[in-house]
Amino acid sequence: MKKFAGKILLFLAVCLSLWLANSYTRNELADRAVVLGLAIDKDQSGFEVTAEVVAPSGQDQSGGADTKLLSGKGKTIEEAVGDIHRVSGKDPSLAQTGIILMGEGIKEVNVLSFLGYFTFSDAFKDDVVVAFCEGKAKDVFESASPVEQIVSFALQDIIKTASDKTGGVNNYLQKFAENQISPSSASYLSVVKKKEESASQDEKGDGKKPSLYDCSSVCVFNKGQYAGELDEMQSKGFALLSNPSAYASFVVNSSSNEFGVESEITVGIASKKISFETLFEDGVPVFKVEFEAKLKRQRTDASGDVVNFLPESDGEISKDAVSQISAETQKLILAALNGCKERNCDYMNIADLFFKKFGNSWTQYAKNNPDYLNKVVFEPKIKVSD
Amino acid sequence: MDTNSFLQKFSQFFDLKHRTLSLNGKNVDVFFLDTMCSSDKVTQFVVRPLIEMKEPLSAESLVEKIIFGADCKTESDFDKVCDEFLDGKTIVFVEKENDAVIVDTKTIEYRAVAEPPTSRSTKGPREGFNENIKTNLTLLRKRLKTENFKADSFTVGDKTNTMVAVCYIKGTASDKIVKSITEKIKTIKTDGVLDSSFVAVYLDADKTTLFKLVGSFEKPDVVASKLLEGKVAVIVDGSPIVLTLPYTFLEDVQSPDDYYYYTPYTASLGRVLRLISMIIAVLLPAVYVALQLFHYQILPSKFLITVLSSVQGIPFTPLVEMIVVIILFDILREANARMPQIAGLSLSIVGAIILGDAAVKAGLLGAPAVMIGAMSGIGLYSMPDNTMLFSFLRLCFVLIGGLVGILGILLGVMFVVSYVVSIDDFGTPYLSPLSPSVKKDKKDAILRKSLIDLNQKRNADLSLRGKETKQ
Amino acid sequence: MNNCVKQTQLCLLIVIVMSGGKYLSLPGILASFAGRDSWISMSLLFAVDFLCFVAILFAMKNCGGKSFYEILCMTVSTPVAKVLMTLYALFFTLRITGGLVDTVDLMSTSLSVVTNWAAFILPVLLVIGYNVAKGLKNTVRVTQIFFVFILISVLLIILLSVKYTDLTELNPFLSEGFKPALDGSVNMSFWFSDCLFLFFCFGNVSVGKRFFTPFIVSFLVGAVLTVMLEITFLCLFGELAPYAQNALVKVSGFNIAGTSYGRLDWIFVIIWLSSIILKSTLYFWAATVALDKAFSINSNKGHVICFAAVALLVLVAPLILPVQQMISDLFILGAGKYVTMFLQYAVPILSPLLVFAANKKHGGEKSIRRVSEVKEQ
Repeated sequence: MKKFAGKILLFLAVCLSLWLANSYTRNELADRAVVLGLAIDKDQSGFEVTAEVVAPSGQDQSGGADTKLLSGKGKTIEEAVGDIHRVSGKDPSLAQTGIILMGEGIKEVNVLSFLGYFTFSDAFKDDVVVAFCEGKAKDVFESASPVEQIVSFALQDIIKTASDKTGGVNNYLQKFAENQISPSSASYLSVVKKKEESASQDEKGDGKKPSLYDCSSVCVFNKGQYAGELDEMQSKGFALLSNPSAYASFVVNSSSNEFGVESEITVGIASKKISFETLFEDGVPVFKVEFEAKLKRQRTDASGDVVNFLPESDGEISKDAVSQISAETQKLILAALNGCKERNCDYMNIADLFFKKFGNSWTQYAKNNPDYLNKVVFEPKIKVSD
Repeated sequence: MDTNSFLQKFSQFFDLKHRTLSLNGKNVDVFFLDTMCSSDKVTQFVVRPLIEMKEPLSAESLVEKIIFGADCKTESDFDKVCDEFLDGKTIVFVEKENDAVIVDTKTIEYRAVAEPPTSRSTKGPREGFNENIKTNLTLLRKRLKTENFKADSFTVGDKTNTMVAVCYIKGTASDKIVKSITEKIKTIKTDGVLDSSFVAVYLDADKTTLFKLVGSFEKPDVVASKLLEGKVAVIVDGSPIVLTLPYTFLEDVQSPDDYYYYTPYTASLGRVLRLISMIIAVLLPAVYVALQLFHYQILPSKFLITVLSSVQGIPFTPLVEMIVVIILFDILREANARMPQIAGLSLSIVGAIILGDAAVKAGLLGAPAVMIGAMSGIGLYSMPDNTMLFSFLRLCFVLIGGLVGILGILLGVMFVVSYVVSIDDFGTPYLSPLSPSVKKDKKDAILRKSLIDLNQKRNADLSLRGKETKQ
Repeated sequence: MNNCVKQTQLCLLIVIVMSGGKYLSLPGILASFAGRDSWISMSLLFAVDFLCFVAILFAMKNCGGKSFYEILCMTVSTPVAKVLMTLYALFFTLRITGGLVDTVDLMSTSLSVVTNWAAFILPVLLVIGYNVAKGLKNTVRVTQIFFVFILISVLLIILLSVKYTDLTELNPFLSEGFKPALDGSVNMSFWFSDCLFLFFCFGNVSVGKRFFTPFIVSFLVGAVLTVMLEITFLCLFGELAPYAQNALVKVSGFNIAGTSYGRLDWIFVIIWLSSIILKSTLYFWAATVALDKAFSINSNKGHVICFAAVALLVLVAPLILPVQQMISDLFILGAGKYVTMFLQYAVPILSPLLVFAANKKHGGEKSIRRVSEVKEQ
């Protein structure tokens, strides 16, 4: 028996390997349609989900990557995604999805009805970019970016740049979903708008016309329902308050620029400090906003970056310019805050902040005063300096 | 002793030389092997003094007063006389004497002391062991000029009578380990021992282990440093490879240049790099296969697109593809080791082009797979003593990764680590000083402290040198 | 089996054991009980665990070379000792099974490894079996190798996600009073008390100059890491916390700043998975030793049978029973938790008294061996 022990062990090892090989379901890359971005549209017949999938052309080492658009329709998102599987023959893989773009048709639907498909799935990373667009989301995916071949990547770059550098906002899946079920029951999304297509840009070989996108607008959702798009001032004010890394730039009249000539100059906020304070004064909720910002003259820095600022130099921005900016900032912030009242949508998360400080007593107050937004008193305190 | 039986036994040897002298009424027979002895030495040290002698003839008087040879003794055992004769000694038989006289006149050609081809040093000594045990012992003795340096010799192999020397520094090496090694050598029962690797098999504590438990080195400075650490060296005649025991896994990570050439920081970096390259060499192909078959989500999007583009149209599954790449590289390595030097360069280029370029262009293999196989193949040589073992492990992990995925790789790694930490080599855990942690030895494990600290360590920790640990 | 270990090895093992398994469904379930105050539930549980841990250390220091089983035989009688050993064996087996079932869930839902229970558990049992056969010494050595990697993985998962956290999500503090936090603590106590395995190390530990300090530091490190992860999880997910199935994967999803980096965080998760295997190995060993004592087994063959019994239970139970549901119904929401609480809290708290009584009965010498006094085998 001992003589055969080694052979028996080898035999058992081979059997175990064969059994294990058949017991672990493979998830082969070659059998999947890797989805880089999802566009969701809604019409009367149901949902239309368009996925931008990777479609490699072959052993081309030149670095180009092809993507194709696959659309599926269904009464639910799940059905629509399943339809993509049916038409393509490949199981869509949503693990690489970087952006979910919702079209105008979503206005008619409560997003909470389908958000769970994404939020409670481990396939989706919770920081997937979520955005809203004018018109059909599918049309946005069908156009091309002049600098990036893959539309999903291009849109992600544009939206993230908007939130980091050019004064827009960015929201991601987990935050968007969480805000909908928080005490404020409201959230926001960046709105992707197509700028007019440049006539000088040639059509790309794949039939897509390059487009430019603007992502500086913001739309809001209240209890999962679309509650409208903020106007320009409200959007700018909201961006000022919500995203600590976004900066804004202001065009002001300057009596004297570097060459001693009167002109308009662009001044940006190099750093800002925002704090919110919630309190009750005589039973009235007061929402205090303290906004402190340091201003800098906008110039290209040593590395050629156009959105950074040179080191501080005192007195570069005149007092007049500072006061202009201060006044404008005040207007923007108030516009953003009052926008909550206008739309009856607490996208500033005021209720959330009150709840975090007062706990159940706020819950009770909100229950007794469903129109608490109208009662909240805003007290912005702005301080800008160079 | 009977001269006729001796003559009868060796009469067929074409190199047997026999001279009979008639001296003082007695016949004296001188036998030697022309191929192993120098005729001049025999003439000068044996024959001439015999002819010139005036003393009464006896084996004892020959040894004490007549024969000039420095190494000269009497022997009464006929078998031992024959063994010595085959070893290249000259045998002198005196008529009617029971003892024969054995004189060392051995002159055998050996390779010169040169830098060993398998372990080169940038700035350190260039000497290497050769096949002569005496030369090897000399190389060690000249570095360890202390009376505590001991070399116990034994003979192994029924037909080869190979000399084996067990070297250690008394007071530094553990007596228990020395005793254990000498016992094992004494129990070797075999026809022939042609190389130290034959002896290593017997010294291996656990013969079923995958990992080698006996160190093998070609450089005397390295062996001397091991002896100073309390290890035991075993020199085998006919082999330029000297064995050291106990052996730990981390010795393969260390290089002589770490002490001669590099500062402590660069030495530590070098060792870390070797360890990382070993891990990459063994695991990277498996991880790549597992990612493609089970967990492609881990790959960044842009890299995923590249991989998808490169595997488009490949007729094999990722598992088969990687196995083909690994086997092709292993074949190339084996062929390179055995092919004649004349053809070596051109065949290497052909092999590289076929694997690296033509196969990828033909669409048989993917470029990432070939690149990963190549990286892995090169990384294996960062720890040269265990190349074949790591190659085998690499193949196993690729199979596991392809069948079970990254969980299988994790379990495989855990199993291998569990196996390795359970190996005790003469009471020294194989993965020490990492596991179990031995604080003082960690000064020269992966991260190396300065030589001053290490030397102080040696002086301070003589009591711990070679001691077994129980945890 | 060689079960001699060093104090430092045990300390590393304690950190690994405390962090293994608590990062899966536990944070989500705790959040469903206590909401944003679930980190307080967890801290409370660790505080109680700490008291029990110190009590066990006290007992270990003064056990006089006797094993825990021997102490129980001397004090509460042999049949009771055997019953307790059997209960501990069952407790460890249940913890192993529950933890591994959770791991299979993690793999199928988050890491897309789809397989059946047997195909998962058999390779795991192979690794565990080898280590158990070699004894605790082997397990602690493996832990020493993996410790750094596991610790770095956990720290990276927590710290790389920190920039997305919003500490205000922990507010309001105890908004509904202390009761939800206490409920969470009481109901989830089954998954704590990780250091009960120390009972089976009595007489086999060699220590350095200090006895209590290294152990306490390792416990605190393990506790702090776990609470940090819980806090990070709550700060990231806020209201969505109760809905998250696998907290670790959810938290690690925030590791990579841009979504074009894929799921590289899974590599950290997979490295961390080895802590679950190590914890299961340790509990397997403890269960085997407990069964050995319960049935008075001294031979190697007997050890193998005990291990096989535990392994069979772990292999078969999830195939025929809904283990997670059972644990939830019996030990989280049901009365079973009071039985386990007895094993987890009452026995450890009483252990110093038991040791004291045993020593008084039979006289005891200092049992702790210094490093220089290595026990000859």
